[in-house]
Parts: sequence; structure tokens; C-alpha cells
Amino acid sequence: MYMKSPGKFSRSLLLGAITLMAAREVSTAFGAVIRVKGSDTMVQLASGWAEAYHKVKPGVQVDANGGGTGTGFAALQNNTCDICDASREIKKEEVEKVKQVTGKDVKEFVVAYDALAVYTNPANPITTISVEELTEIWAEGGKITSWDQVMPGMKGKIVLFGRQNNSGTYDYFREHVAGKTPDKKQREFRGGISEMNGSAEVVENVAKTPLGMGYSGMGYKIDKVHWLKISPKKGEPGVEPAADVARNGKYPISRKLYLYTAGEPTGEVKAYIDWILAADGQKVVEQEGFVPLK
Amino acid sequence: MPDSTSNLRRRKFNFFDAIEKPTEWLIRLCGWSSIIGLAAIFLFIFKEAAPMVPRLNWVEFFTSPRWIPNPAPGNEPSFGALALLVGTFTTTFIGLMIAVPVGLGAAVYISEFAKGRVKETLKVVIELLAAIPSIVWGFIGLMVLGPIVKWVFTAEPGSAWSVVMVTLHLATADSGASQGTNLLTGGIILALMSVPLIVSLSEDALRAVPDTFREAALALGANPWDTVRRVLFPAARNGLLAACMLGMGRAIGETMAVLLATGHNNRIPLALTDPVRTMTATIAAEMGETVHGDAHYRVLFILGIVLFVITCGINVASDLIIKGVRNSNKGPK
Amino acid sequence: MNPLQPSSAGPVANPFASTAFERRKSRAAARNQWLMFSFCAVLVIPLVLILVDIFIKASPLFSLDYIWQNPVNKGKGGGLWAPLIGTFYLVVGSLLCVAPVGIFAAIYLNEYARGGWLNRTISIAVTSLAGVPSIVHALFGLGAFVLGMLPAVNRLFANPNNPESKWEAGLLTASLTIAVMNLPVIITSTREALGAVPHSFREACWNLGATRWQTIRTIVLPNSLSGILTGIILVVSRAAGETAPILFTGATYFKFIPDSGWGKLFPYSIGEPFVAMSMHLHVICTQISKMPDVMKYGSAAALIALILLVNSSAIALRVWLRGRKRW
Repeated sequence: MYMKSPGKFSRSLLLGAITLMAAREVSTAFGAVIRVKGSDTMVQLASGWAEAYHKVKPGVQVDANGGGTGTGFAALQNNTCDICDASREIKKEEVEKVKQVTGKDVKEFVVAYDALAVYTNPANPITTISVEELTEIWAEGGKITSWDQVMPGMKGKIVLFGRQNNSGTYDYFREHVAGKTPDKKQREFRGGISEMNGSAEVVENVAKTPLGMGYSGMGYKIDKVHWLKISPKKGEPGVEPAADVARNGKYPISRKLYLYTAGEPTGEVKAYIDWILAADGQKVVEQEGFVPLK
Repeated sequence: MPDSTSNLRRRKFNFFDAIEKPTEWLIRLCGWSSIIGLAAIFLFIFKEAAPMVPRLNWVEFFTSPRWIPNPAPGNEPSFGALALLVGTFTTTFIGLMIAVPVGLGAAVYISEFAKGRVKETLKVVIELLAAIPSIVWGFIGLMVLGPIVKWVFTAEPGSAWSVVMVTLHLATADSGASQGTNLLTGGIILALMSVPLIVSLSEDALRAVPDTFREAALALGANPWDTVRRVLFPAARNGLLAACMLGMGRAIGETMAVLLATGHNNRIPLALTDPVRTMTATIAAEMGETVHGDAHYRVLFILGIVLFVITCGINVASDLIIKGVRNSNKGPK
Repeated sequence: MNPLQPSSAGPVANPFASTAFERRKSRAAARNQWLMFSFCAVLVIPLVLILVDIFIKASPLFSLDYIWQNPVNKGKGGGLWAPLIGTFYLVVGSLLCVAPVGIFAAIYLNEYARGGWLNRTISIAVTSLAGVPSIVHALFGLGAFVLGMLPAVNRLFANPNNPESKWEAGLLTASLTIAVMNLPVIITSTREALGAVPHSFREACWNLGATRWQTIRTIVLPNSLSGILTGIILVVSRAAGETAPILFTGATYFKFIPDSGWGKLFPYSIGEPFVAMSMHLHVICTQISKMPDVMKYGSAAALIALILLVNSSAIALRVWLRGRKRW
């Protein structure tokens, strides 16, 4: 024990300390690291890119994390990430904050399209819905609360699943579906929507809930849910989420997915972004269920 | 040349003796470590929350269920934590309603009626149950218990079970529970988590009652159950109360289990199987996505302060109650 | 009257026979005893069933590969090596931080400050610290270590021109947060161990002229090593299982570590985010789409097995050492 042989104890301490310091050197000698943070919608896409790029360039390690689009912009400001994933366009005040803190202008890249699908349970016979009706279902003070108001024959209260409030998806859906109040202010979501922690959870919950309805990226569809055709106004034919209508804007709730960097990207980061915009990166986009640029 | 007749021999140099004085100072410093730690926790949380304390609308915070920390551009954020407070307290209440009887009963059985190998096995099992991490409890609530609760509380609209559910406020919709992760599931998981704590503390409290009490009751002709009900419970009353309070403190502070098992829905529950959200789950879910330094971030720290004050209060109160036991339970004077 | 002669009044009623009242009471007592036993059963049996269910659902994955390989395809396949090694480093790091402080604090409480108001205050502080919710510990870790300590460390050690040398929330901050959380555990178990050493041992030492510190390091500490070891094992189990404190003080999910070579054993440096078992389970249950259920059960089963192993060894150690006590 240490009391009887101080020499042996301090020798082992020294050995341990040297090993720890060596370990740090070994692991940082792994190579360049690109830090990617941001949108939860894009986190699986980012991780798919990271894994595929790792096979192309084993010396470069890409760390992809989620946390929400807002977190990504915050990380860009704090210089704790190289690339920020965003599922909505950057706001003016965020651009200014980045310029204020890092001194550089924000550079935007459009890397994919996404359609926000409205998912329902297969036990629900509904197939089409209009944006007007969606507004009344989702917005604060909206008048539609039970299924028989939109689908005659289907009874029960509509159970809503959304995203957590810092998600870019939440922002986007609110802006385009929740509508405006009479004095032109943006309406908030109604209370009582379950705030799911990630795009996948929304879909999984809708699959388990016969009366459920939720919004999430079209890349997250699984066999156990249906998605609705959306029409801009009631009575018009609905458009199903698909790659072409997402690109040309015929689908009412489609959006672009962005990458942002602080300043013009250089070196490994530039090579990575170029790879993403090229054919290999876009193939990963398609595999993950999003819409490639072309 | 050393004087062999001298009695004063130089002592061999011992490293650990030489560092005695600095070591004792180090020990004194470490002794204060828990007080320093507790004070540091309060200080740092308050430091992060402080800028928001004067700006927050406290009336709205405690009375409004409207929690919109990230409003649309042009709208004002709204920090009404009533739904969160109600969520925390209802899950804790349901948890305690299950945990206190089961825990006290199990403690009484282990302490008074179980003998030898059975007693040792039960104590080991309870200790292992206490060790299961909270994320695993959350997993159990989400994947195992949730579907069971949902299956129990589902009915055809119009059937007898459906009518019973809606009348007794067991479910809001007449087709039953909409989600498996709800108030009831969260409460059951909290109960399962607090029971080992209540059992071990209650058992300590019952063991602290001197044997003379039991012998006196036996001499008067009471059977073991009567002894428990009429003699031990009143004698160990303070310790049992403290055990339940500490169980309540644990249930209030639990994070990961309720994050996965209660369902993420920020509203006041109207029925037993409505999804809710607790304060702890809100902090865990929303903190990772806030910008350091803005209002939402600071309000989450304020929620942390509320939790800290509540649990510290419960702990100090139960400690004072237990100290009262030690002084009054020294047996016949 | 001669008591040895049988009485002519016929057989006497047995004075020790139970009356109707007593029979009713003993039936009620037996019933209540079964009720208490059923509470125990209600607690233990469903849980054992749930655990067995989890292990059965995870059984397709049981193989040495599951432990030795890294997660593949965002965790939908492959093994658990990266989270396991991350948890290992987290545990070692937090032990290094908490064991010396906790043991010394318990020595102070038990040997130097017996009785008195200071002892009571520190005891209350220890109990309060034990009762603080884990999410509040996480907030403390965020405020104190990530936002308070790291910028200072970066100013001292990092090269401003090299963004890679900047220390981020990672092993160091997470270990410190878990260390603060586990301080009460070490203090309590060490105190019990020190208190179990009979006072006569110390008195004998003092009579021989030893100072207090000499007594402690030669007699008291070696004899209480078993209890201290139990406390350390409990800290290991808690550090491995906790999720909330490492959520925003350093744990991450999407991180690649080398699949072979030296880097597989030393993948994380102390200024980098790491992957841990508890965080891994949390993320695959809530955030990855199309995650096969078997992987979720597998991760949960692995974590449960790890914790039960560690705690069982603590219990076994305690039982073995109780048998070995020489006084």
C-alpha cells in the first residue's frame, strides 16, 4: 500500500500522468477536424455525409452534432463550429451578431431541398388537407380541434405532435402554416402540442397514435405512417410531397436546407463543402430521403 | 562518530511525517468541500440567472401556462411556467401515492417479519434496484410500460370502459389514452425509483426503535402486526416521515426518467393519462438549444433555482425531523 | 381438595386455548403479514420480469463483437466500443477528482472535528448536496466549468492561432461535474468505514506517542480501506449511469474514433467531447429515425449489465470483508 512504499506509488503516478499526456498527443494527431453543428432535421444527413466523406478522405474527421438550428448559429458566433447546418434561412440579427463577434460575413450554401410532410396514422382515412385548415388546427386560437371537422366520419380529438421550440422546423412550420393575426403579427402555435425532441420522434409517435398528426421532414417517413396531400386552399387538388414538386415550389410547404460558414471557407472545409455540392454528396442527400439540388 | 550511549537517536526521515502540517491543512480544506460545493452550486446558478431576475414577469411565471420562449419574429416571448410546475407536482404526487404504501409495507416486512436468508436477499435486491440508472428507467417507461398503459386505457368509443374512463378523468378522449408516455406512466416510474430509497431509510428508522419497545409490546400480549401498527409506527414516526420526504425530494428532482416517460407536452393535465412535462425535463430538453446569455437560457436557470430551493428545503426539513428522533428515542428514562 | 385426584366436575377447559377474539386477531395479523409480503413481491417481481424481457429482446446482439466494435451507420449497427471506452474514461477521471477530496473530507469530519456545530453543518451540507437534482448539477457544471473555467484554461494553455488546441466542453468538465455530484457518496461511505474502526485502536496509538496524522495513516486508514473501496465502487456505478450531468458538459453522440490501433484505446483527449453509454442510450431512443428496436434494447441491456456488475461486486466485497474482520 502506498504508506509502506511511497517510491512505488509515486512511480505509478508518474507513469499514469505520462500515459495521459501521450494519449492526448496521439488522439490529436488523428488529423484535421471539421466541426459541424446545427439543425436536428439535418443531423442525420450531416452524419451520413461525415461517414461517406470519411471513406473518401480518412485523414479528415467530421464531427456532426445536432442541437437545433438556433444552436448552430450560436456556435457560429462563438466560433465553436466550422460549418452550421440550418433548416431555415439565417435571420438578419443573427448575421449581424456573427459579424460583430467574428468580424466576418456569413457565407450561405444551399445544399438540398426538403418538403415538410404532414403525417397521420394509417387508421385515419384522411388523405388531403389544405393549408387553410392546417392553420386552424395548429395556430393559437384556431377553430379546428377534432377530426370530424376536417374528415367526416372520423371521430376524436386531434392529437398534435410538433418539434421543440428552438428547431428550425418549428420556426418554418410556424411561419408558413400558423398564419397571421388580424393585426399582421405572426400567430404562435396553440398550447397542448407535444414537443418532440427530434424529427424521428414525431413520426414514431404519430405511428403509435391513431388520432395523431405531426409535421416532420419528408426524409423521415416510415412504413407505419401516411402523409397527406396538401393544397393551398380548401377544395383544390392536393400535392403529395416529392422531389420535383419540392424543388419547383408546387408543394406548399417546401424549404431549402442551408450550410453557413463564417467567412469564405478555406482548406479542408472548402473541400468538404465542394464534395457535398458535387455528385457524391448529393447521392447521400437522396439516400437520406431529402431532395437533391438537381 | 555516533555516541552509542546517547538515548537521543535521530529519527529516520519519513516523507509522510514531514508533510504532516501541510497535509492537515489540506484535510481541513477538504472538510469544507461540501459546504463550498453547495455554495458554489447556488452561486453559479444564480450568477447565470441573475440578469433575468428583475426582468422576468414573476406573476406570469407562476400563474400562466403559456410557455413560448422562442416566439415568431415580432412577438414577445412568454415564460409562463404554471404547466411545468403542475406537471412536476402531479407526477410526484402520483409517484408518492404508489411509493409510500409500497415502500413502508416492504420496509415493515423486511425489518420485522423476514428472517435470515430471505431478509438478506430482499435487502440485496432493493439495493440493486436503487442502483439502476435513471436513463434505464426512462427507457423502461418509454418502451415497456408505455405500451402497457396505452393498451389498458384504450377502448372503443361508446363502450363501458370508455365511459368509465372519461367520467373518472382517467382519459380525455373517449377512445382512451392518446399516448403511452403520460402522467400515469411517469408517476409509476417515479414510484419505482423512489421506493428503494424509502425502503432503506424506513428500515433504518424502524431498526432505530429500541428492542425494549417490542419486548414490552410482546409482554402485553400483542402479536407482531399489532406491535407494528400500535407501537413501532408511532415510535418511528419521524424517521418514516423523513424517509418519505427524501423520497419526494428524489422524485421532484428526477430528470431523465421523466424526460422519456412523460410525453413532452406542456399543458395542465386534465386526466390521468394526459401527457405532461416537468420542470426538470424542460431544462434538459431546451438547454442544449439555447444561445448562452439570452432570456430563454436565463429563465431555464431560474427554473433550476426553483428546483434547487425546493429540494434543499425538503432535505433540510427532513434532516431536522430525523435529529428530533435521535433525541426522543433513547428509551425509558 | 387434592389436586392430584381427578376432579369430579368433568374435563376442565384449557386455559391456554385461544378465544374467538384471539383467533380473529391472529387471522388478521397473518393477512396483514401476507399483505406486506405482497408489497415486496409487487415491487420485485415486475422489475425482474422487465429486466428479463430487456435481456431477451437484446439477446440477438450478444457477442464479443458487440463490445469490441464501434457503432456503425449512426448506431443502427455495429457495437458499443466508443461509448464503453468513453464511459471508462469518464469514470476514471471523476474518480481521480473526487476520491482524494472526499476521503480527506471524511477524515476531517471523523477525526478532526468530532461533534460540535461544524460537524453538524457539514453533515447537513453533505445531505443537501446528495439531494440536489441531477439537472441542477448539470446547470452548475455548465455555469462553473464550461463557461467559467474553460475560458480561463484556454487563455492560459491554448494557442489563439490554432483553433484545434482550444479546449472544449469534454472529458475534463464532465468529470468535474460528476465528481461534485458524487462527493456525498464518498464522504458518507468513508465516514462509516472510519467510524467502524474501534476507538481503542486510536487510543493505543496516541498512548505510544503518535500524532493524529500518524495514527490515521498507519492504523485508521488501512483498516477502513474496505469501506472506502465500497464507496469508490458506488461512485463508479453512479458515474457510469448518469446522463443529465453530461448532457451539456461534454458528451456527444456523433463522433468517430479509430477502429484499430493505439487510437482505439486512447481516443479522447480531455478537451474534446466524448461518447458515453448513458448518452448513447438517450440519443438512440429519442433522436435517430429508423433505429431498429434491437439496438435500443441492446444498449439498455449493456448499461444495465455494467451497473449490476459493478454494484454486485460492491455488495460481494462488503460481505467478504465483513467475514474477515478481526475485531
